[in-house]
Amino acid sequence: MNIMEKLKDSFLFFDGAMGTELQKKGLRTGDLPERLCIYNPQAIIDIHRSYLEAGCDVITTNTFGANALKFSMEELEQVIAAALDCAEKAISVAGGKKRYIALDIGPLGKILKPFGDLDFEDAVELFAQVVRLGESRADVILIETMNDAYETKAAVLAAKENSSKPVFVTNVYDEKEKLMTGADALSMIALLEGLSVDAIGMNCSLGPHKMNEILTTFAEYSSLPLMISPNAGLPRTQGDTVVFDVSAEEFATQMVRSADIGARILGGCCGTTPEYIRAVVSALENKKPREITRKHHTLVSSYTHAVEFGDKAVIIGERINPTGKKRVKQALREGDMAFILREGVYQQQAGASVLDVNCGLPEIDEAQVMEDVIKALQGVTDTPLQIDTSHKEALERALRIYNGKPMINSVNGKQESMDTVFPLAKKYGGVIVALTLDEKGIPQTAQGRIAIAEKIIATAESYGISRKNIIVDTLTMAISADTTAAEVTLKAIKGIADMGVKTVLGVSNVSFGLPHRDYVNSEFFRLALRCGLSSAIMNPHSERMLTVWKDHKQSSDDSTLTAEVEAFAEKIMAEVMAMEDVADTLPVSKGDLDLKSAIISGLSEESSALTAQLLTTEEPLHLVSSHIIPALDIVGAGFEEGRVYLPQLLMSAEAAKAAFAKVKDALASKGTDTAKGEKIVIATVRGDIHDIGKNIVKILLENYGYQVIDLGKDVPEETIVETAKKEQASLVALSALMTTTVPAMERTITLMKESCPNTKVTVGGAVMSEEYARMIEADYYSKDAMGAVRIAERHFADRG
Amino acid sequence: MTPHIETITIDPSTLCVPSCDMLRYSGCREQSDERLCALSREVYEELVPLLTPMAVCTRVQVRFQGDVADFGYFRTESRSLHKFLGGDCTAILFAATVGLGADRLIAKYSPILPSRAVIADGCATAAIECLCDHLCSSVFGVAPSARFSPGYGDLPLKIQGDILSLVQAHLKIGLSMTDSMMLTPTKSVTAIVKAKD
Repeated sequence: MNIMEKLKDSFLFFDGAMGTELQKKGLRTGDLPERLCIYNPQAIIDIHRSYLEAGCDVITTNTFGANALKFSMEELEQVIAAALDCAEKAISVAGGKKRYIALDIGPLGKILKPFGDLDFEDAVELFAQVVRLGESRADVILIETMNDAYETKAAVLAAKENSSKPVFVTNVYDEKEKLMTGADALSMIALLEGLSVDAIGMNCSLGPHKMNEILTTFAEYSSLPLMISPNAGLPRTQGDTVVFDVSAEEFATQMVRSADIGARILGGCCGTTPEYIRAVVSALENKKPREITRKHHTLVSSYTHAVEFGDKAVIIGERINPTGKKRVKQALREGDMAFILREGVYQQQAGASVLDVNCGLPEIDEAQVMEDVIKALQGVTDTPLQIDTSHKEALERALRIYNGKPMINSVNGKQESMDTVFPLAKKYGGVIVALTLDEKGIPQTAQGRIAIAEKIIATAESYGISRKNIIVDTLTMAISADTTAAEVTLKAIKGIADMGVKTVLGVSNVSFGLPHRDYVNSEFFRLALRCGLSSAIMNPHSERMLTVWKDHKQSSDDSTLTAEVEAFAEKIMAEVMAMEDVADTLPVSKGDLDLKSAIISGLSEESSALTAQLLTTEEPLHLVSSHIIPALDIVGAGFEEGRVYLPQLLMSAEAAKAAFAKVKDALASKGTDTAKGEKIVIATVRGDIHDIGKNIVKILLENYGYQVIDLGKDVPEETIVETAKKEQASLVALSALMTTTVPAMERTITLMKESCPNTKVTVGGAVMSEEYARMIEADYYSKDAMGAVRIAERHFADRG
Repeated sequence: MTPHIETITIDPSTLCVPSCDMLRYSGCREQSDERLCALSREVYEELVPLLTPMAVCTRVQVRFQGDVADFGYFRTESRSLHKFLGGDCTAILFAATVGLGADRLIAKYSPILPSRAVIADGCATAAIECLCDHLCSSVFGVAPSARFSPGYGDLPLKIQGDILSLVQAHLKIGLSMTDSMMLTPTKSVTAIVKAKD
């Protein structure tokens, strides 16, 4: 009987702590106790045996910290082989019932990018090495004590891609019921069920009492077998030894409660001994595990939280999409990540719970840009993302590096689409938007669209994807082109909702070709919500839409709904045709504040409004030279003289940026392209993960009209040099925070002098000094951000 | 034997971070500007729920041979550490962090509102300093500033890694180090304190 068969109708008992037992034996473990498998195998065999004698079904190999960051590959191979030898020997000696071996995998001990320096794919490979070395002799792969969602995902992918053995995953939760890097239980359930692991749960850190509280959430939301391996309570020092505050009896009592809540796989972590496991096995001897039931919650997640599609409709921000948005198009083409990130953060602040991400432009490498955008976005916002693409490679790359369970936009009823999307969704997890169209096009009736939805759901289920992970989009069409369009869409929504399946609409299509679009959209949205709409892809900055969303209350008795749906198009079109056009009025400035003072005072909103006002009477370029630049000069000089502090300098820079945005809009509307300034490539060097200083320099340089090509942080030497060459930039600005990354800066400069002898390099950052800069042969050094601006001014003036 | 490692968790709302420190670490020498003060309070309020102040510590015997300090688990040579500890003693090695939430807030504002990012950075620096002061005075019973960190004087930065592994910082409080020896989360500290007799 394999381990999953055993699990079908009985409990599975794991062993307890390894470290605690090693310490009891007086073995000095240092930080690499795995070496004991080679140098003192009998000690490890004895510990395994003591747990087997206590009645456990599964013993865990002594490989918790075995990975290539801590061991050479040669030693890693030996450690894992020796650990499996120990487990097999212990089982052969113990005899009795069928026993199993879990290949133990713990965390790597490093933080993943973007907040650490370990690349996601490198993490996957480090775990994969362990899996490949050990999986054939194990019955199950146990990924445990993980305190980060992203690292957990890397380990699971490594296990699934290199083994067909079952994968159990347990994470470490704190008193606030979160992982150390912020993920809550619900987001981990979403992520791990999405990745199709075989059992999930928690271990370490907490005692059984607190763990049972978290287990309740697992039992409510998860359809998988649940695993729990608590500590023996909290540790305290007693003389020279460490003791834990929960006795074996109390531990067993609590574990019976765990079983009542729904735990089926039970073991112990720090402080537990064979006595604890014996007590648990004995206490549950005559009990049957609780039945595992299917749960129907539709969840997407980020690395901190999950969003459930339930009673309240979910708002999906639509702004990161180049379709019909010139500025987004430009940002994607030019790699202006800051613009995309701003769109993301502002939509989150406006109330979007999920952000749609579409990078579909024919002239760019969509797969690469999608991966870059997803990585960057999840570095600044914890809003779950919706990967919106019809490009297979872009979808797979985004799904792979996404830190959570995303939405996938979209699949449709065409066989080819389903055969492309479903295998990827099955592997990586996701909630899939299903468009109700197929090879024959978009059905003109609600019944036709419902039939396609049913076909998509059935096909998804044949791929092992539950219907809870399908959200049907019944396709909003413009009522100006077809007055029956809204009625068909809404009736299909109602039909799908009545089937208990979740729904979504891209709301704004309905008003295409009509005046007062926001009003039409919001009235359509109001009706859609009454029809049972679960989510909307929309502009979260629309106050009217948000008001409709906030005010909506689902009512079971909505007798006029059908009549209103049928009458919607004609009624709304008549209304908007009769409405008068209201021109956008410019906000009036307060008091006698002028633009220059607003920028000096760092007032962004006022600067933007005053610029808009001035543009009605002044030429855009004159406005820049007579108001914005003089203001920046005053603030810059104040900073250099120590009268203005860094946050104030930046507030002025932000205000100037807001003013510039209005100027650019004015120039664009006149058909004049904004003149692009001289190019400067900027980067934080390899190994350096701090980029706040670099970002400060960037905004100031942009304000002074330079075209800044920002390569981000931790940038390899070659990338910086290649970019300078490709862009023909004559100035490169490098930042380093610590002494340990100065060598990378020096290598970059050396390489730059070899490959681009005409390009000058300016350096800065906390660790830098004039002397240091000379030592590494930098061309210029600046002690602060304004200094970098002055260097650029001198550099380009000298070049004429 | 493996040393006993103590994990300490602090409620972020109990950290009394002086507002003058928040602005000082943001690059402001004086705080006459009411708007800046209000902004720093606003950013700090946003930061507090994201903070997860934690520390791990252990006590070890330190023996000196010349300027070489032997901690029992690792050795290092440092004249300034010798001077700080004054010779053989019991020392407390600790690693502390305010968590990844601070880095995330700074990263969120960095591309959109650098002024807020700078202030969030200053607030988070003030918070980790405050956490270390609290540990020294309330937990270890020494003066708030009586701590010595790798990188001070001639104490090599490299022993940061030795301290982190000894106190199992990654496992217990999610604190680790990059290849270029930067602590991650960035608002973290490793330090040595001379234990009171």
